Amino acid sequence: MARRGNGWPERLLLAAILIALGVVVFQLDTIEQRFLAQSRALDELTRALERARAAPAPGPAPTDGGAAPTRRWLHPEVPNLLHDPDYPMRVAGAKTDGRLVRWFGTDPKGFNPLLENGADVQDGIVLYVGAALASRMAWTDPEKWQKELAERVEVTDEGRELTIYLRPGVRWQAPGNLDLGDARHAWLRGDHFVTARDVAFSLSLIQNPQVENGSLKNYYQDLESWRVIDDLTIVVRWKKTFCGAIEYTLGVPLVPEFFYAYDEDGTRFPDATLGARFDQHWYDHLGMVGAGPYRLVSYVPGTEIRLERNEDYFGEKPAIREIVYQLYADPNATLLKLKAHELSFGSLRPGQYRDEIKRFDSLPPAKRPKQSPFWNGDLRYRTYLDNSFYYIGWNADRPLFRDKRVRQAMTLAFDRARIVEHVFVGLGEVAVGPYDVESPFHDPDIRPWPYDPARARALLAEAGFADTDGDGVLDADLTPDDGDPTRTPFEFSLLVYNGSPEMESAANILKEDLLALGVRMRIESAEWSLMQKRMDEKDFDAVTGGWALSYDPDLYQIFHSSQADVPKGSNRVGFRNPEADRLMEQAREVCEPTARLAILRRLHRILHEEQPYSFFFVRRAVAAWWKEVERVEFAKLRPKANSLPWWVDTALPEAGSR
Amino acid sequence: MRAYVLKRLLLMIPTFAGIFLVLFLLLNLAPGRPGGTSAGVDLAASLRDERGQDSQRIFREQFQLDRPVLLNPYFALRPAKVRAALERFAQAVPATSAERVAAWEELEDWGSYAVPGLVAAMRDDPRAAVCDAAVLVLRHAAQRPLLDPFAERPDPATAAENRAREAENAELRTWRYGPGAPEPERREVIARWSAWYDAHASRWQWDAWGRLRVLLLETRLAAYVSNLARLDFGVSLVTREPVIPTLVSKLKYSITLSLGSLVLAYAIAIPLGVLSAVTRGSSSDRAITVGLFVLYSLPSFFVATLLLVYLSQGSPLPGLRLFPTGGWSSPDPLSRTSLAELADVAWHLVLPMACMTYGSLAALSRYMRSSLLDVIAADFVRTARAKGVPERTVVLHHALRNALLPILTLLGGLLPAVLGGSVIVEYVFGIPGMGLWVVDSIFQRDYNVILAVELLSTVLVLVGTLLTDLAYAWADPRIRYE
Repeated sequence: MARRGNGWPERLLLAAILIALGVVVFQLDTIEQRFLAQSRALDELTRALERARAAPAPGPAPTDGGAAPTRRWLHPEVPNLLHDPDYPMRVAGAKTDGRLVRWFGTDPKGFNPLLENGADVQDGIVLYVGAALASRMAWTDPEKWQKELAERVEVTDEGRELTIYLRPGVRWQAPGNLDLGDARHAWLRGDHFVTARDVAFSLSLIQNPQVENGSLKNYYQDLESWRVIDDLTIVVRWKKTFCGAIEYTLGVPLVPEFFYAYDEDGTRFPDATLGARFDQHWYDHLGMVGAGPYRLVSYVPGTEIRLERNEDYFGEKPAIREIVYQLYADPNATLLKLKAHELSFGSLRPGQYRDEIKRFDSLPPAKRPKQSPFWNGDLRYRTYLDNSFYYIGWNADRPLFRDKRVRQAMTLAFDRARIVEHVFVGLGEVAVGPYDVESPFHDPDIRPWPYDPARARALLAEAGFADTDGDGVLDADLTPDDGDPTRTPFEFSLLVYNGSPEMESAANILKEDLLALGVRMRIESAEWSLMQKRMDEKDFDAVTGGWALSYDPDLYQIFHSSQADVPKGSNRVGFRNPEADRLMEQAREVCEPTARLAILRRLHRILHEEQPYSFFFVRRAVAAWWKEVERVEFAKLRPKANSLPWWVDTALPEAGSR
Repeated sequence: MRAYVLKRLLLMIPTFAGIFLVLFLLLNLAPGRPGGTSAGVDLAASLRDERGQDSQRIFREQFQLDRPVLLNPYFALRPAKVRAALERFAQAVPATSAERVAAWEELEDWGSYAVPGLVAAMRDDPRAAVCDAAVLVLRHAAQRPLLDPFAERPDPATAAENRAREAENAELRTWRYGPGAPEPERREVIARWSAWYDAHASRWQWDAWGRLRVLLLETRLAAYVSNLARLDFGVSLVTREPVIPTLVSKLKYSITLSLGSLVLAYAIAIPLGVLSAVTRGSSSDRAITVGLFVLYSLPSFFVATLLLVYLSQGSPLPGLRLFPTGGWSSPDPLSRTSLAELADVAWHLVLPMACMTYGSLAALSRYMRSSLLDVIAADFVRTARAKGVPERTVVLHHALRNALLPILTLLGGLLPAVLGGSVIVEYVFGIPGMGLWVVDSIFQRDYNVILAVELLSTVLVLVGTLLTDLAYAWADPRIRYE
């Protein structure tokens, strides 16, 4: 074998090359550092310019809402539906240059506010970057609407027609995460004002069949037409009186026409394929253009999304300057990242809450672990009611659950309070109905069904169940849809989602309790897609599930009898009650608050009596945040952890900086 | 040799075609359908709302889900069959919810091929429910797909045709009536549909060639193959992003992780294997073997969590807060120089790489050990020892070189793993690599993503095996391919 030359000249040459390489790397690094310092300085300059531009300028000066003597109202006699904001976003002494670091989840499917209806994008991005025409007063009185882009809304023709007057002089944000210096994007430079045509554009996209947002379209079925009166005025008309009209009209996700109707080099999409092209808009995976209090400035897939305060925002600007979302798949990692101070705000899982907090809660302070950030004052926490409830639904199309007494007996045998306490670590409250317990629609006089096996037994006996053949299982004469009464044992299966170990434990406890009554329940665990299929086909006896509801929920889809016969309808349990049907129809049309309240409360009482579901519990979420985050107040509406009024004390170390 | 390589390369074509066909069929015939929206409630909502139904139809058209998978026999769809489905859908005959859903999906699958059957049912079925259902379905089935709707710059002819089609579709969408419509209105709408069909019946009449064309070419397979021929892997059904750029961006993470851990594994396993071989039977050999097999049997999700909890910044022990809690790099990567970014990424990858490496040490070091033992027993090594070459030189210089060959050829088989990524490590450490992407895509029935990844790894397997075989011949002059 030939030996390679290992003489001095070769070694020297190698050493020289290595040294030279090292020097080059060092040089490049220094150059890059300078370059970065300059780009940071440039950023600062841009920001300063933005602030300067946001200051009142000559020309079409933005007027402060309401007091615009020059504008002409179409219906001056109608009072303005909108109120002035009454909750300050900034309090005295709040630092205004803080950064909040939160968790987002994995990469969003896209940022288009009209297409993405996932809670991650809606609550994390659209809430801050988008701008609505008006919003519910989330911190004070969600019954009322406050001015956002609209400064006046007139509701006429028994609620069928809304005349919306936009605030003048509001600019769409410059698209972030994009090099506007590039000649290709030159068409994006300059000012673009929010106009009534943008509202019309957004409505027309919702109505466009090529645009793929089925669940959003569903809300706008009864939208009749819209008419742009001038740059700042639009009249939206609905086919019939419909209480949701205000909510859906004012809550329409707005997209700017100057941007979303064009491809990357500024050519307008052809009308015939506008919807299809909008579905795959080139900017959807880069960012979002809105007019809200924050701008989306950067998105690094798999790593982070960064929002920065919009210094050009028309309303009161929030105190937090920057919101950073970390992207990772495993929600369990939040605890570790909070402890490491890589996040400044996050939510804990029930098990983590038990191990880190609940275990020590009842101990005297001296016995609590000093080194734990939860007990040494670094991390604060709070639990809050998430407006979503879990339930067990009884398929009333099956002979077994047709009788309401049987369904009541099931609820009476379901020890919900104990299960919530032990299985869900106390993170929840027994549900009494489908409404948010903090909303006025929830009737506080309705008490939850207690855990009472004796009464359950009595009710089952009343419904005709008895153990006639002595096998330990109750039976009764039941009539199937096609046939004669037959002696049927009380046996059924409960379909449970296998992604939730807690729900499976709860089902097991129920199974034991039912067995003591002589009812045999099997548990069928299923993965989500199978579960979905079984629910779509109504192929189950009983099923576990959950609904997240908006502030003023329309229960029509879930409980109206017409929805029980629609294939894949959401009234999976086949609940049919003529009075409830009537009330749900009225609830869509009677919008006067007192009358509406009476209707919804009556509906609540019927649902309580009929028990189409055993309402299980309303979940409590656990939020934890570092001590530098101040004024953490939760909104009365979803998303409750809305950071707009919070501020970050920059005198303390910030998360994510090292 | 050249002939051999050429033969192998040519053989790859039918192999690839076979694998592609199996993959494609398995994927498309597996239960579950891709939906425009992932949440089920949304699907229910879109089924109720006609506009939602329209956009569902357009979504299916855009991804060719409105066509059969392999062969398209729908040109011969019998009107009686369409009517039977309509009857079940409209509950004109007793039908359970499951049967109604199935009937709806059947009608959806037939798409525009059902139009003659629908018109026949609408015209002469005595039952109002069936007739109404026929009009309802006709409203979707009769619409014509746009040509190349995503074209950046459609040529004038296509644009004009699309305008005409969109105008016709918009008109057809209005030919409907509500549930309790008065009889004259019903009759008027039905008459309009009837007249429209008479005017356009030729769209559903094919000659023999046309039938053959429909049978073979209007299928999902044909559509995919024709795109594939242009190396167009399509866009994700879920995010609407082109598949290949996303794949490339994910490769950055997966290749770094798997190549890094591969190098690390070889760098650790080879010396350990040599040590075991040299000290065969001694206590250090046994200690190494036992130690590596203990590591081998530890599941990586457990070790990963353990490492994170105790060695990351969130550790309860202040002295052990050595590494970040996961992720690819620290926040705000754009504010660091390339060198700082490199160091930052390396710092982030220590724990995940350790996790991906320790499991493969046992096998590799055993290979090394046995291969070196074989060589040490060979005659030429005895000769070297006999002529007085020091033991160290014998092992490291004479024996090791020869013993390394079988280990290095193992690499060829590991090539596809580079693409696969590691789901568990990616999940626990929050690294957005291939593994998580593919698993998510499978759950969401994102056919285009799954196919692109699988086809690419097929190519890698084929190339990998060829490279392994060639490497053998190159390393061992006794092997000759003719």
